[in-house]
Amino acid sequence: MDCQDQFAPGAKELVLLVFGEGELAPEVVRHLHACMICQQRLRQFRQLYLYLLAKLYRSQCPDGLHISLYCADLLEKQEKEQIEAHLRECPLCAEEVAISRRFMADPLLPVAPASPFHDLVPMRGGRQTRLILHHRPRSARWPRLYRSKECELVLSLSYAAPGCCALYGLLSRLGPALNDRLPLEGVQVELLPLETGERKRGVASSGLLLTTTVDRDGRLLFPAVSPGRYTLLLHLPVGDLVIEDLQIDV
Amino acid sequence: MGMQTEQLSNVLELALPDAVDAGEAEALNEREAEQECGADRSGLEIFQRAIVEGDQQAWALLQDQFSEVVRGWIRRHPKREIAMRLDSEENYIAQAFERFWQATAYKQDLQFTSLPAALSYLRASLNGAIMDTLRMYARPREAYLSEPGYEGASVSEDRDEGDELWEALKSLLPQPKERYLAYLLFYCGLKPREVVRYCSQEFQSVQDVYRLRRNIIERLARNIDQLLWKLSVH
Ligand SMILES: [Zn+2]
Ligand SMILES: [Zn+2]
Repeated sequence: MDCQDQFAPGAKELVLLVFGEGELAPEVVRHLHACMICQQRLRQFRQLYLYLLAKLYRSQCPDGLHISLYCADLLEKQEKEQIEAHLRECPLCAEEVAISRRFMADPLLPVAPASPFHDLVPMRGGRQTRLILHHRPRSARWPRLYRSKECELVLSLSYAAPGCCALYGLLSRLGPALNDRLPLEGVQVELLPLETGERKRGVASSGLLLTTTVDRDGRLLFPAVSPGRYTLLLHLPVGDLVIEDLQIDV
Repeated sequence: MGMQTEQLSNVLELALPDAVDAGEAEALNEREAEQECGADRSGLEIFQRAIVEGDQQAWALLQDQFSEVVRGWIRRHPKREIAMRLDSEENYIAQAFERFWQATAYKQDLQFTSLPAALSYLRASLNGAIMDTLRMYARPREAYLSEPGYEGASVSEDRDEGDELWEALKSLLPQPKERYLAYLLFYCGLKPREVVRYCSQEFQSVQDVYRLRRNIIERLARNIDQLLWKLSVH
């Protein structure tokens, strides 16, 4: 039933009111306050708006997990294409994808960026230093695991004597195909103390260099290491593996 | 040396949660090829036993071993600040595992061939939990049907109804630009200013948006009885 009053708000005015931007003439406002029919109609309009919003709001958006799997490239082709099509329309999902991508661009576990340290490492027999690793302080827990393309090294510490500990490790190859190309037995390992105080990159104090070799089972051991900061060098047949800034404290 | 050996084999196991320094997103495939090497096998085995065999013990072990990894991820999330205001770290961790569990239970054929692959899935589950939480809090108040006296269909009713509604709306809006704006207004719940911010290519100015929105409203108003009837919001 429509209100026949001359000051009754029209449909357009009611919809504007619902959107919160209607500027009604004072006599229309007065009428609205007094007229049950017009109030009922305004309520219907508001319900329609809320209904639209509630029904439609993000109703076509993939959920957070699907957005995430999409960003991690873990979806099947069809699902992936559906999300791609949706992203062309929906700025909210596009924004979520951007955030998720940023998050997932991070390494799965924190790795420190390679430093230019290798420029300073003396080359041995013309071999290139291949990989440099160091730990951020926050992940400096023992045991530690380092991985390059070819191999993996687990390092651990144990107490040996007052002010002295044993550093031991296990070097293993990644991938069975490398067995022949990458013999580990006899690999030379050097532990170079870094000068304390103002850190000079790659400058080892002379005289305190510790060396050992990897045994047949890939084990290496420095039985007595004083606390301090070190660089660990493994001279692999394919190149040197450098672990930079190895903090050893008992 | 016997003891030494034992220590070493322990080391390898202990190090497993840390095992994947996989900045190696690109190395995932390579890693799959490398799965034969024992290094992350037992970490992977925990995942497999927990997921494929539904081994409760393995599941507990999985949560135990990888909770700290998940915590580390939360702390590096681009939205961690706002996320932490909305929920606790512990809840996000729990939700990450729960979603991971649900996702893997739902996908029966899911097999992880490497630990990084499994961890990627777990991280995606965490991100899903965080994004859904943020999304829930970003939902406009009006988008909850809280209006008293409302007697229409419940929010939980399925998407078909939304689709039907959208078709009805679209039929009233022949112009693509108006349609898209209606999409942004109702599907995305954007205010005119946000429309310009998100879609500056299509909508150059707020005035532009206001003008178009007015057109949309006028069309809705002209056809409101038809819409109300369609929606049974009488
Ligand atoms: Zn009236
Ligand atoms: Zn969306």
